[in-house]
Amino acid sequence: MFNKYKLLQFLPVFILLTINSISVFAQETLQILAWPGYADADLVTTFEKRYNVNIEVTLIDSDDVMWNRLTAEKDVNFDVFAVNAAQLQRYIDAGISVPLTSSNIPNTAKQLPRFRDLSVIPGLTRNGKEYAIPYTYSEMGLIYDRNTFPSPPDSFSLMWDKRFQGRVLMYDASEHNFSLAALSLGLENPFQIADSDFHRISQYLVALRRNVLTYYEKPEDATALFMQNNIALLFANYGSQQVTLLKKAGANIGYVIPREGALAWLDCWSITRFAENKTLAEAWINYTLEPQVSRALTLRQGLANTLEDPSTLDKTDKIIWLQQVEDISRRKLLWDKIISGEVLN
Amino acid sequence: MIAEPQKQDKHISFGIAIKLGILLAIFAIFASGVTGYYTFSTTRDILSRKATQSMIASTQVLGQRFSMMGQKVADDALFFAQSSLVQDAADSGQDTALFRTTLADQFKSLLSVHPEYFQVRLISAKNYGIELVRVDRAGNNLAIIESKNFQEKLHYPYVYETLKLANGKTYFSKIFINREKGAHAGYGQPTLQVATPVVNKAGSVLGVIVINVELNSMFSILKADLSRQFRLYLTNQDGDYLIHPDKSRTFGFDFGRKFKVQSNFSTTSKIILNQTDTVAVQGMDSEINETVIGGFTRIQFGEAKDNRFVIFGLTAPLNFVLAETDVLYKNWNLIVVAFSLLAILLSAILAQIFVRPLKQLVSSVQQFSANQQLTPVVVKSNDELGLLARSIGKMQVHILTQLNNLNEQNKKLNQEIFEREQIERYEKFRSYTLELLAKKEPLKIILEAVVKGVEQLRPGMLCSILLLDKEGKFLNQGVAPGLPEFYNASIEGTEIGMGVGSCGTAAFTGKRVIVENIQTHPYWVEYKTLASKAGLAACWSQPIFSSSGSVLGTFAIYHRVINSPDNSDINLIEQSAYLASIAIEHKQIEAEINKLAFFDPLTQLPNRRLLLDRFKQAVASMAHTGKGAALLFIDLDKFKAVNDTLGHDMGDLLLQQAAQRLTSCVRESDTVSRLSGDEFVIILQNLGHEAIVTATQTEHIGKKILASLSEPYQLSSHSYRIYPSIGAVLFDATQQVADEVLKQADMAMYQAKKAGGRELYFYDPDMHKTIMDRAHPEAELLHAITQQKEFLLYYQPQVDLFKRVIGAEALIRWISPKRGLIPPADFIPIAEESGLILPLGYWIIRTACQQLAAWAQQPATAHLTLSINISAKQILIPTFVDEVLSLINHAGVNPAKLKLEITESILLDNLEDIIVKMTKLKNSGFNFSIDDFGTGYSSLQYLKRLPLDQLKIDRSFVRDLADDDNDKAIVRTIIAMAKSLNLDVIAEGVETEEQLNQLKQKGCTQLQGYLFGKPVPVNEFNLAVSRNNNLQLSN
Repeated sequence: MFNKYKLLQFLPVFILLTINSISVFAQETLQILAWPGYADADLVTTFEKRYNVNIEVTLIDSDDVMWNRLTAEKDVNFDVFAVNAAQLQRYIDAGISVPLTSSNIPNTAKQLPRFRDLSVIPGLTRNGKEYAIPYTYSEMGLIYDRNTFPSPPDSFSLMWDKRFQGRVLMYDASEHNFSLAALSLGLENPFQIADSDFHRISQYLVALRRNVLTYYEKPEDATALFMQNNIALLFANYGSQQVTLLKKAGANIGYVIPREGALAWLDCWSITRFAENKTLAEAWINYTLEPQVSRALTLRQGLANTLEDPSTLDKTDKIIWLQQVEDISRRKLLWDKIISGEVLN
Repeated sequence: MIAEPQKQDKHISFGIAIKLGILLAIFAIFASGVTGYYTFSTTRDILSRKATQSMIASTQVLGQRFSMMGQKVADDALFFAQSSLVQDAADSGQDTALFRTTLADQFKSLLSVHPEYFQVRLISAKNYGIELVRVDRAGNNLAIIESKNFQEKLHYPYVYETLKLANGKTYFSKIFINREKGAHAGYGQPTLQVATPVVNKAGSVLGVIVINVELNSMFSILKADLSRQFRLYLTNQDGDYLIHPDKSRTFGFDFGRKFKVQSNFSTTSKIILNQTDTVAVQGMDSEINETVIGGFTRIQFGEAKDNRFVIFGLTAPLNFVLAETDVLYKNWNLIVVAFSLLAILLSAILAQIFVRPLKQLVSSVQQFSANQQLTPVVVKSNDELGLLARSIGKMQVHILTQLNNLNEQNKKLNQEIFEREQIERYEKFRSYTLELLAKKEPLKIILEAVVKGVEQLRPGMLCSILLLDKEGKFLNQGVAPGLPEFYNASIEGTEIGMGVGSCGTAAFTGKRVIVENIQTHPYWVEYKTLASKAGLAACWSQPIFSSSGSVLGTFAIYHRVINSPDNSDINLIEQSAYLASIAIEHKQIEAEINKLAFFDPLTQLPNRRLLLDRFKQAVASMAHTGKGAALLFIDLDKFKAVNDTLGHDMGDLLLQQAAQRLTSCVRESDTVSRLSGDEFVIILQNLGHEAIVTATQTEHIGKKILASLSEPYQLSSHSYRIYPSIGAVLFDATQQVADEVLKQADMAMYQAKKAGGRELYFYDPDMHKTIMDRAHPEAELLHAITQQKEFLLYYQPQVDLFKRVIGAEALIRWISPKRGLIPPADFIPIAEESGLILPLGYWIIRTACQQLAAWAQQPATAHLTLSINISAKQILIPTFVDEVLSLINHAGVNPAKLKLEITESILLDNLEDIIVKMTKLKNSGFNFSIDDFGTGYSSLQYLKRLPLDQLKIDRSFVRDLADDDNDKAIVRTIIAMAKSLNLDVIAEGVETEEQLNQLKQKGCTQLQGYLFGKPVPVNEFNLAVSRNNNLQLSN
């Protein structure tokens, strides 16, 4: 005999189940380590409300800071981090990045085809397991002052040009700067610098140091420096994002991919082994791939998202995806000396 | 009723004095408390405001000290920058090495006096800002850095920005975390860099002097004189904490976090937005979980034109700040307590003075209310209280007068209420009695209700009602449930008369008799012993009168003690007697009405209504018994002439006589009714099962009626003859409508009348013809019996379990020359009715004896017994035993071979006579069998007493033996019973092997039925027996 009141007896169970499924994330805190503009407060709040969780966002402005934060001896509790694809392998090596379950991130289906097959992007997979989901990318082109350059400069080597001494802004980073120097010097693989080439390239970077006004870390700082000083060339580590900022600030600038080609970074979300609630971390990644979140990245930061094709890139432009470099710590060690002003004879 | 409140009055828990005292005390405490609190809180407010102001001032002081310290650093830098030593050292001239060594020593001296400095350098404007002189603090040591370790610093803002400055200006860096490589202790520490350009006399910028200050050291100096309770904050102009009691919250921007002062102290955002220079803060500090107050101040920092500033903040727990008010708080408490005590004391005294006269008045009033006696006026003063006391005195006098009046009225009222209640209760019981009457309860019940009602109304009274018989002579049918049984029994049937107790006398005289003392009263001389035995001392008796004034009985009230009635008692007796009279008379009338309704007043016969009712009962009973019934419609021919010639009186007389005759013609169970005028209807019940039998019986009775009614009637001096016509209808259970049956009988009666009267006609013409033809059977039967040629005995074999023939039952057959073989069912009832059964029975016994004698001659049949049926009428004739004995002797037959079968129904009447006769015959060697056993009056009682030999199980049980569980049980019981009484059992009507098996299984030893042989003439029977014997032999 089927009795509808029997259903009522199960009602509390249904309610309990429902509440449980809602409250899986209740009262939890999701720790996010990300680059500026990747987790804006309003978008974070929406997620917090939807899942009834707290989110703490920590912003970093360099790969080295990110590495330091994630490899610190104590108090590392980040659940998810936005990492450059070229950096990912060392996080996998260190056991910090752990495989994720892309089926828990259904919004990956909305991504452009080239981001969907993770195996063709260098460094995102290992042993068939997926470690990261592409989120945003940018090529590192050259911003130039239109007053100084009526026609766009065609090479990064102009940054070394004594004519522009004290009018060049460079980004403060160990890895890319070595790669950029190698690229400028015409090395075949800027990501694999031979031991014999290191001294030469270091010297080349010292030369660049002697030609720059200073190094910047954040795009806003770069904008401020550009506006306050008579800057001719700016290495755009943040790509089109910086173009947007500068134009907003009223700078008369142009943006170019020089003939050497531009290094391009691809930032991905990855989950750390510290994540106690992987499901929540994956929910966050899935959330960032929602159109309104990914589009905000483009609209607010000028960064390309993985859902829509960008309009700025020229087809002929040479793009070199950043890859893992031969020895990060070596580059870092050298770079610390260079930035501190050592002469390296 | 007055005592209760008095008790409470004496326990006043909160008197006016206490209430007044408490109220005054509360007011005083409240007033002093509020005043104290107001003072206290105002003081706190003032103090807190003052403290906040002083803290803002402190932050300003701190800020100034910070600025001064900054300025001191700038002064130090400027001092060096403008010294010729530095200019020389910075220049590229000769002996620069010496100058630089000297400068390094001086830098070292500077570092040694300023622990907060950790690096002092001279940096060149050339060679990409190469360091020229550099002294680092490394732990406790001061290290002069060698030239090979000098670094190029032009790309740092403190260099390229400072180089742009005019001579004498200083550069203040942002406060940041130092990450420049080197041996210095400032690596990773919050740092402030102060730099100034080194300009030579020619105005060329040669380099910069840079002093690095470690901010934490600087601040520990700054706040050295502050209490530990104070918390110091420093933020940059964006609000990022640079100094915070919790170090982990500083320099959030350096690792991507935002720890901002405005999110902890929201008012500080005014400073950040340049709206004000200082703000006061107050609120909960969630980090230390305490309410804090404090101030934040904006401090100009660096060159004024840069409009750079930092924010200094100082907070302290409110309790710490207001510690001074603790003393005030203690004093305030003491004052409040002291004032409160004083107030309580004063209030108590005041209340006592005011309340004492009041208390006196209260006790005086209490005394009055306790014993309703005047009390002297105690308060003599001339104020309001005195007036109150005198008024109370007057009021007491007034109250006493009123109270007496009230008591008087109350007494009267109580009496009235009591009487009214009595009346109401009486009314209740009276209406209850009448209700019983209306419900048509039996008279006895109603009178009992009257008696019990009175007994309940007046406990102690015992009542009785005695009814006078129709002749007005004897008292009986008493109702007196309260009186002893033996007393009532003795009174029952007492003849009334003077001096026959109270009731006997009252009924006799028709007057109320009041006997107050039974033992001394002359009326009770005869009965006083009885009365004393019953414990009765007084008896008042009231005659019960009918509405016409005749005495119906008596209503009496007994007492167990000597007692005389008062008015209300007399009233009660009269009313109760009247009530009883209503009931008695009502019941008499009811009986009368009942009689009128169902009986004909003239003949006392049931009227039409009762007839219809009896018809229904007959139909219902037939459905149950299956027996036949008939209705006779009788009309007296030319009755009208009697009325016309002799008058109605004579007509009525004739009808009465006719009614009597009719009643005598039928059995008690039949109904004789008068329909109207000279029409009578009779219902005959319990006739035969078969229609023909019923009709025969009906005809027999009808004829009897015809004869009876045709006898002359003696009407006064006249002898008068009148003849009836009778119509008859047989009816059965299917006929529900009485009118229909009546109509049919009426029509049949009309036929009889048309045929000339003095006739009986059946409604059914076929039936009529059959019956009329039957008029002859009786004669034919008589003839046949006389001739003795037309009757034959047929013999049906009786066998044992091996199917051996052990005997036979003789069954009579009438072979009429006119009508052929007539079955016994068709002529035995006629024989019974007409009495011809006697000669027929005699013939049967004689024939049977002859047959037994014949069988005795043959060895093959010598063992056979023969059963014959004896009818009731036969056995009842006085000569029966002798006749039988004579016949058996005459035939010379062993009486044990003759088995006399009697039916159960015979035994219903004259059981004793039958037992005597059977016993005689039994003693002579005859055997007896009970026929049709189980169909009727099967009582162990008679089974035990009758000298029986055999039980015959009726064929009706044998027929369904295979299927009917009830029959199985009955047969099993009969057999078991027979065995226990030591009787043989024979079953008749055995037709199948199945029945045989069942009977065998249950222990039946003898059998009879078609399975073994039909009733056949003697020749055939003898043949069958010899065949059976042969068969048995061959087996």
